[in-house]
Amino acid sequence: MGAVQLRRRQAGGDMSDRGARLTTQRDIDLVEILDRALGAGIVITGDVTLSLADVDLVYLSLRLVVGSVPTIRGEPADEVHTLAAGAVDPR
Amino acid sequence: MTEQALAKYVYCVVAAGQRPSLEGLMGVDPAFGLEVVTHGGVSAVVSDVRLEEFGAEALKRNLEDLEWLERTALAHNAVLARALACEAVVPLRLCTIFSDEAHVRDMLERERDYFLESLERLRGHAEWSVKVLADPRKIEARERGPALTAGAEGAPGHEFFARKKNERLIRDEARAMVEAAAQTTHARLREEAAAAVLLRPQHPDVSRRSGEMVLNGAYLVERSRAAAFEAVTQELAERHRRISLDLEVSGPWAPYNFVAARQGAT
Repeated sequence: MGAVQLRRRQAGGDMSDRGARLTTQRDIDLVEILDRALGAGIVITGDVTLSLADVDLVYLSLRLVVGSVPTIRGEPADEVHTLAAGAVDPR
Repeated sequence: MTEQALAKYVYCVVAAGQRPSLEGLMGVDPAFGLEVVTHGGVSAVVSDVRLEEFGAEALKRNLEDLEWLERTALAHNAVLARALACEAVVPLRLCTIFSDEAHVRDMLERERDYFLESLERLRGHAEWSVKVLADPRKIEARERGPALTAGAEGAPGHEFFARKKNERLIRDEARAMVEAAAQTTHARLREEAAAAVLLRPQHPDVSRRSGEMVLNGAYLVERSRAAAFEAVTQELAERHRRISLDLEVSGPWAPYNFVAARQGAT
């Protein structure tokens, strides 16, 4: 674990890899998008794509870098399933 | 190992016959526009990507580059935002890539029942995000006023301990109030939604909003009822403001958080 090191190049060039932090409003929106595009959405293994474990590891590292903490799967997905199954049916 | 120059990146699946307007939009690889691959009643929105950038090895490198990731995620989401104009859309996770169109068709064939069921379930719905943020210091300060007066009535010798006890009381009360507000907010929004899911709160470092995220909810809302949902969030936001809580709403999003976790065969 922890093999992935996310890098962010700064215009000023003074930011170390480890110290990279997302801080602007644009970054906040980006975190919203990444949480969805990388952390949610249906997972289907493409034949070119990395193994899911690799993508999960990237997402895990990203969470460490940006400090965002939702999980990819687990209880939330189960909840989605049960809630959605009952609730979306037309009543 | 025959490395082709191009592969197909898949963004989402919509019902066949639904055609998102994709004019003027480029894919995650900006050299290529978007296409639709239809098979067995479902359509995948795809674009070409160069393997030198999106092949397994390159991808492993690029995914670790925040700038690349940002660019790619924004382009990915832009397609999803357009696809929201369709009756229903099933979002795929970032960087789902197939070697060619035939493999995309194989996938559509294999997952057909799942896609059809999901499209039916999601029809006419979109996802909304609601977050509640609390600044503990502000809330404790609000609670402190009356509580301190009560503490000052104690004997002078016990004042220090009384104050300490008071502080703890204030913290506990503030915490309880915030948690109750988060719970009632989620419960109220859930009533307005077809489905709801609690996501893990984001860390304060990233939220950069002053305060702690005490609710990070995603709500699947019927689009025809979006105005009503927003009205409720407005009403909740006003109520929250009075007790120093911030409520943030964003949407509509493609229903990323309302497609069941699933792992297709390779």
